Amino acid sequence: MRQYRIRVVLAKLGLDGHDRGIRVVARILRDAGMEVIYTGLWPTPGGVARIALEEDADVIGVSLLSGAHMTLLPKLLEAMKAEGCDDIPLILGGSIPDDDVPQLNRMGVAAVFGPGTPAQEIIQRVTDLAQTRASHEEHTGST
Amino acid sequence: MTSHGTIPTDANRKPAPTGAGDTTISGRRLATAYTAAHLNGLDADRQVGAPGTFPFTRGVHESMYRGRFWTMRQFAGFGSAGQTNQRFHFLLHKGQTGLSVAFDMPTLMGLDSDDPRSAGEVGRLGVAIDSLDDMLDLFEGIDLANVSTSMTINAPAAILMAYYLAVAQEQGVAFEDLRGTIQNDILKEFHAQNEFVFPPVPSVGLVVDVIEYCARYVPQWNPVSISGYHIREAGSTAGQELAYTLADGFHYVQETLKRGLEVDAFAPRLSFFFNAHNEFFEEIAKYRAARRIWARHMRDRYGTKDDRSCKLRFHAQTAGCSLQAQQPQVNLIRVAYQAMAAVLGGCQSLHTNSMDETLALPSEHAATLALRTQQVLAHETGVARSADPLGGSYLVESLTNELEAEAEAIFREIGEVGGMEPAIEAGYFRARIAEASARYQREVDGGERLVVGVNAFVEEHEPPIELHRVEPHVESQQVARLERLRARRDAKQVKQSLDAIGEAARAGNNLMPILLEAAHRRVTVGEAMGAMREVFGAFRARSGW
Amino acid sequence: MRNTPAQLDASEAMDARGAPDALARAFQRRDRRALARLISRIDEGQDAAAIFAQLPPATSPALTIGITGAAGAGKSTLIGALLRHVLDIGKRIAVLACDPSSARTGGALLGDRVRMQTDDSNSAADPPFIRSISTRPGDDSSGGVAGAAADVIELLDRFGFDVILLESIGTGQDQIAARSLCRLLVLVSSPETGDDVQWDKAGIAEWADMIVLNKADLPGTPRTAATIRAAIALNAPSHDGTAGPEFLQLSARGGEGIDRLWHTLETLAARQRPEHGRHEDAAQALARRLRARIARRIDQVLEQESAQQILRACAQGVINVEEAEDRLIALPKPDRMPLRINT
Repeated sequence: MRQYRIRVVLAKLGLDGHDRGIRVVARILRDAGMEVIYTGLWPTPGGVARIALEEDADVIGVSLLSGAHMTLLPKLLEAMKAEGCDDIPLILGGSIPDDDVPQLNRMGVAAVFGPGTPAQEIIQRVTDLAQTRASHEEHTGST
Repeated sequence: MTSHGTIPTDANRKPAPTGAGDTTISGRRLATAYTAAHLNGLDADRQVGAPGTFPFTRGVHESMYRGRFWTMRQFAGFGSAGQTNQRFHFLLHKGQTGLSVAFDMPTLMGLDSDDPRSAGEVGRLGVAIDSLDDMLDLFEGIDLANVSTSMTINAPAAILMAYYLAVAQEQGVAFEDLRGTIQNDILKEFHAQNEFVFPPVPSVGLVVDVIEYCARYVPQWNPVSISGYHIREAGSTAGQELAYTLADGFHYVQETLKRGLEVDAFAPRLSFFFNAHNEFFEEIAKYRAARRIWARHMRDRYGTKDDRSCKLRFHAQTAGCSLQAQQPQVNLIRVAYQAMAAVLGGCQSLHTNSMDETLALPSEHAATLALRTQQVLAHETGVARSADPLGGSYLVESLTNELEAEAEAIFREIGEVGGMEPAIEAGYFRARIAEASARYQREVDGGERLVVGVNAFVEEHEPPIELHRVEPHVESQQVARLERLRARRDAKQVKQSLDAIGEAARAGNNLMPILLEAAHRRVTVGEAMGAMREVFGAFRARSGW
Repeated sequence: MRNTPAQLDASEAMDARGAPDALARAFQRRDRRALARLISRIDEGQDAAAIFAQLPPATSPALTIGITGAAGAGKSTLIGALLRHVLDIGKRIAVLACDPSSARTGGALLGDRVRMQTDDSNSAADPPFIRSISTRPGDDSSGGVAGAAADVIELLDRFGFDVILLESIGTGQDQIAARSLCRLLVLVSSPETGDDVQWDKAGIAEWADMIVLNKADLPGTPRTAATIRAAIALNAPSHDGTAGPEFLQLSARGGEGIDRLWHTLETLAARQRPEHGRHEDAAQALARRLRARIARRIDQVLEQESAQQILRACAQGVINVEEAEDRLIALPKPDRMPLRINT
């Protein structure tokens, strides 16, 4: 049956190539019935924003293990703004110190997942974010 | 960290095991008990032998750790070359004789600190090296004739090796006196760790350039550390780690032989690097099988006459991927058992991970405890008194045989896919590793395999632990330093060197002599890589889901 | 060319995410977000005819090129190289990549192959538009392209791209659907993947306009090239009297031969009547496209409560299968697909 499927762009931002985590998440989301667009290694923040726009992503997921999140996340959010797709919710996974989470939330990161987050929790959060956004669009669409 | 008090309530979830179960984390089924019948007529003399004798199943030295313990080699590097240099002096002052350099991500990827792609990553996970100036600072006041240095670098390994040699020249140290290891193993980057730049064929060419050059001029140096560690970290099984690593080793041997070197002129200096994971006996059997397979192939396929060419010497590191963010102190216990497996398996050197590594770079406290773990193992447990203490165990001998057979089957499969480089291009290794990783993840998510603190024995409220923070100033300092260097050096000479690198790459000549000259002329890592990329092209891997 | 968000006022920016009418307006201003959204709507199974009714036809039809071939032949690298070439000569290009989806969960992993080859084109003045879609249960998956591909290509065409590349799934066989959707079909092979057996039975050699032997720097190239030439010779002249497919050896990774490839494609396109392909009858192509659309409408019909009642009645034996069929056919067409989240 053809119907709406949640589309998630997953990006490994920065130079580190440890993609085991993001690939596991990609499989988890796919197995939950979502369409997952994986950017591959080493995309630029501008590249991720463009992919999210062209692929009409419902959610963007970024994995970062290099510790460069406080540099790269603002760049990504800036790029999303420039592309006009900063309404797409952004979630972050990887080694992110607890201390950085409040500031990331203020920047506009919707959720931060630490190592070992259960699959069900990720699926639930992505689904919630996509649904909230979809119902918002339905609403604006009808006016 | 977020606390994970809930366990997924998946309909597919299987009941949590109450006993040991019968399969290893690599999916290998074990018998309830092992007897002589499991050895299938093992020829103890031919297949096992004595420590220090062919096929070296029981170890590469006759007396193993009696004379000397394994080297306790902890990996370190952060910030600028000057900061890391201070740490090196501190470690040497404490009696450490071996240095182990961790480079930052831009250096590992062959990018200069001022490249836009390096933003946010300079000096963060290791030391930033852009030019010979940084390398001189890194080893300032350290006599290269009196230390053994390990450098973990791959795609730009030839350039960093040239920098190291240039430092030796500046210090007046002869190449013959240099001791140490450069990782320089690009194949496992294609299989698992993704720090490659050029396509497989020219990448391997560069690896062999270093092997060939060192065989001729730097005879005490280990020019490659053929690594299974990262393959396992990416989620492979023990058998895949073993087989892919050895297959990589054989590939380097074949490619080096094409340069016209005798096998015994370089093979004794090939070294290995394996993971020490949780599955205790399977890990020990893995190291034993590795030594036996290597010895046999080197003698029977490559006709070595020197026993040293048959001896597989290896460094081990405990499994980073086994560490958990939840209840991080529990990681100390995991690391201790893993380290014991590496020692019982006969490693030559060992790095024990710090308990906080899933969360940040190790804090000083955590790094000290990691080293103490090795010291307790060496000085208090007595496990190192006799060589290969598990030799003759029905279980361990039987597992050793099984792993050897599995590796041989995988070698055949690689052959069927067309050999090393075609298999990489086809995404063979990545796909196989992804399968294994997904299977393990399903077992954990489904609750069939328990991980303490993660899907069992969960604490609702975890006390926070103290973490290491990186100073943010390194990047701008490094960028400014690079700017000054570019203004100061002889631009014409730099251009000549870059042209020469391109020409040598096109002609297929060994790049080492030109890279050495380029190092003295202050050609940067990023520039040298750029000149090679012009000729070799860049490689993007298939995802291999 | 490109509408930056700065040029849109707040309500228009909202429109670009909103209702079909507003999307259609934004689309006509060449807003890329609107294009992306409309592709999703078509992909989700909303009424393509209603969407197209709001959009003006393409002013000059794009050159559509299907790229097919076995996994590992280097399709993505070739597309990446071709894309850079087309951008360099100042043309606007879009790529549509098709991937399979899981029949069980509907989930899919998409698009990384092409994407990775093209990320250095970000800075282009009129950047390429790259989109992935997956096959869905009910699509004629033997065709190697997603069921919505025909309508998405039409949408891209109306948006004003000069060149549209369609990358098929790459099973190596049965890529006939790509043929019917594109003016030109390129079959990519390599010395590693182009084994003799495949060429012997290959219907594809008759369907392709061009066969490209990629990775022609690898050993084994002369042997594979000879096999392909023999297969072409065996099939030519084809039934409509034209010569067999063009053959070209190149190495996409090094960028070698890409300009010749493009030149050949342009020459082939110029030789054709623009409205349809060389072999495929226009009516047949249309039938294939409509079949996909109609299949989606049937899905929509079956989803309605009235349809479910008929099906239940049939399952309970209240009415027989023939009667159920007649009643279902007679049901009125639903207005619009409801937005549904698959959880």
